[in-house]
Amino acid sequence: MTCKDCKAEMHQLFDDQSESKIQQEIKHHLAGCDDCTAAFDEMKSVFSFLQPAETVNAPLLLKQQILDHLIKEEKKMKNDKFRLINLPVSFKRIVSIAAVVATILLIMPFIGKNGSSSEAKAAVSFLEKSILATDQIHSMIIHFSVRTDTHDNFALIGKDYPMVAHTITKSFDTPAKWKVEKSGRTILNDGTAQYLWMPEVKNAIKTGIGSGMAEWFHILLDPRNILSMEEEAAKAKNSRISEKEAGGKTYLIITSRAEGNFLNDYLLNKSIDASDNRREYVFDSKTKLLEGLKIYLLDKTKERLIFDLDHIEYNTVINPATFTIPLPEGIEWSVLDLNVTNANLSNISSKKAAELALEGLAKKDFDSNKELWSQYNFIMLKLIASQYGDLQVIQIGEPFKSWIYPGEFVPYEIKQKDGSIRKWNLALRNDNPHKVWMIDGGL
Amino acid sequence: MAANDESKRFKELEQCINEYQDQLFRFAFFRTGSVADSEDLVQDVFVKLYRSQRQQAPVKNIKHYLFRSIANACTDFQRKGKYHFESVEKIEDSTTLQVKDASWPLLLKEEYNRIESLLQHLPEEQAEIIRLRVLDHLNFTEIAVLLSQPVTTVKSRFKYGIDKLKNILHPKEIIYDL
Repeated sequence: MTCKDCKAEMHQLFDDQSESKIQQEIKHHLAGCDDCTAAFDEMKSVFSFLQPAETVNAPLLLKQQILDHLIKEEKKMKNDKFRLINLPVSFKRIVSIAAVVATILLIMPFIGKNGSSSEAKAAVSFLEKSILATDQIHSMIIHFSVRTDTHDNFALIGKDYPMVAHTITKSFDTPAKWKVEKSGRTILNDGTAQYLWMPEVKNAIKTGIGSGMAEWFHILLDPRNILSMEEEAAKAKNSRISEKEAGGKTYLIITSRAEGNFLNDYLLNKSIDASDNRREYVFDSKTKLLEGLKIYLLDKTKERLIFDLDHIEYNTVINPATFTIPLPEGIEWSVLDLNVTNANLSNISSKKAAELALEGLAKKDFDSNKELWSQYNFIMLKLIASQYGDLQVIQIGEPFKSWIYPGEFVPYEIKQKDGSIRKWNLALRNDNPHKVWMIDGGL
Repeated sequence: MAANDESKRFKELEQCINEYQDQLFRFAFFRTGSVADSEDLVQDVFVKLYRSQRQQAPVKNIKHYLFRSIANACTDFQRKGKYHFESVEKIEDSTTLQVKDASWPLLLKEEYNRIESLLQHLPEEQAEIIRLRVLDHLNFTEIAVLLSQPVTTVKSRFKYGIDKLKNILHPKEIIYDL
């Protein structure tokens, strides 16, 4: 083993599993090399420095608290067998914390303003003026491109995807109407409901007016939302913000980190919110109206353009027919009802729900736990059955969470009927009124 | 019969708590910086385990299950906004973090601040692997399973993280050629 190899591999000695061949080779090399020994000692000193000087152990009463809690729960269950006791133990704490949070929210804008740099203050002031300017808008059409997959959710981004053309059309009259389009999907809000149309799989879903089908794009639907969001971020100092003016244009540059937590980085850099990015806004200095936006994904040392707003047309006449989606004959809007109940799907883990889903797929049985498939119409289920029917489950892994996604991901490995092996993660969520697990993706 | 089952489940749970409560508490504490919240999260995890056993859904690998559960619980906790995700400016400017509980011994607060202010110099994916190895005493294979990442990725992130910290703690002297 050379010194170069030894230095590249010496971190393996910090694994406490049984000694491997490489560990033996490193130790053998270290025994005869002062230079590598010194390098290893430095690594050891970092490792030691990170060890807490004080042992952090659970409080003495914790075990008894847990057991007491469960004894009470068992008693309640015996008293009322049909009532599920499922309140999180931290519930009571939330009430008191909520009062504190409310107070913090009331004072936070003042703290932010006083604490901002003069540059950030100027930027915030500009954003406030821009918000006033956008009150004069009656309609707009935004043309932009996003590095994404045409057939996937609108939120999806990826540095290796092609730039896909999108259009947003919006009428600010009452009721407000809008449409977001790319070649594989259209979302429409006609003032009474939201509709998602996927022409290639003929999936037509209708939901309530407040549903979040536009995902990240909802902030583009009203320039006031974009600007106020950036204003809040600037005030709270969650973003770096700077402003410059040249040639009648005002440029705002905002650099922010991915929001949420990435204990597991499965969703890191897969949406704009879940990425480190730089957003470059261009405004007309006189009218304060937004004219352009570029968003760059900051991936370690490289950056990649992932969003490019070509142009916006303000106050143009929009044909009312724009806010309708004519469906082909034989296709109807299927109403996405999240207020469903199914005791089999509400008192189980996401892993168990994934097991039930894969069992159902293997038998092409979508009726036994039909709520699992609430997001799919009969045509999509037919397509799914043709691909996954007769599958064999090889293994199902432990669920994990990532970013701020409200559901969980369950790793699975299956053998399909053509003999091919598929390993992927099933996305399930139960953030609906009755906590019923539903498939949200991953097929 | 039912009473026997219940008694057996409680005994098994008690053994499990004895074995893992410190590790889980440590895990939660070094993600939340809060003793009270860590207690709640650990309690939630054991309650969930007990309910799972009660529903005749036995857990095969208890350790893996518990660490996955506490990791998910911490993520949920942070998602709900109780945890403040530091801004770029704050990370660059700050030298210490604040621990929320006044009742915890001063030394532990200092330790949490000392370790976290150092780990803040790393990308989160490297910092987390170092926490899992150094503070939670998981080996690289266990970390890989927990994070659903290849062992090679875990090892290389650990190495890059330690190397970066090494340069911070032991900066090399710059030798100028005159």
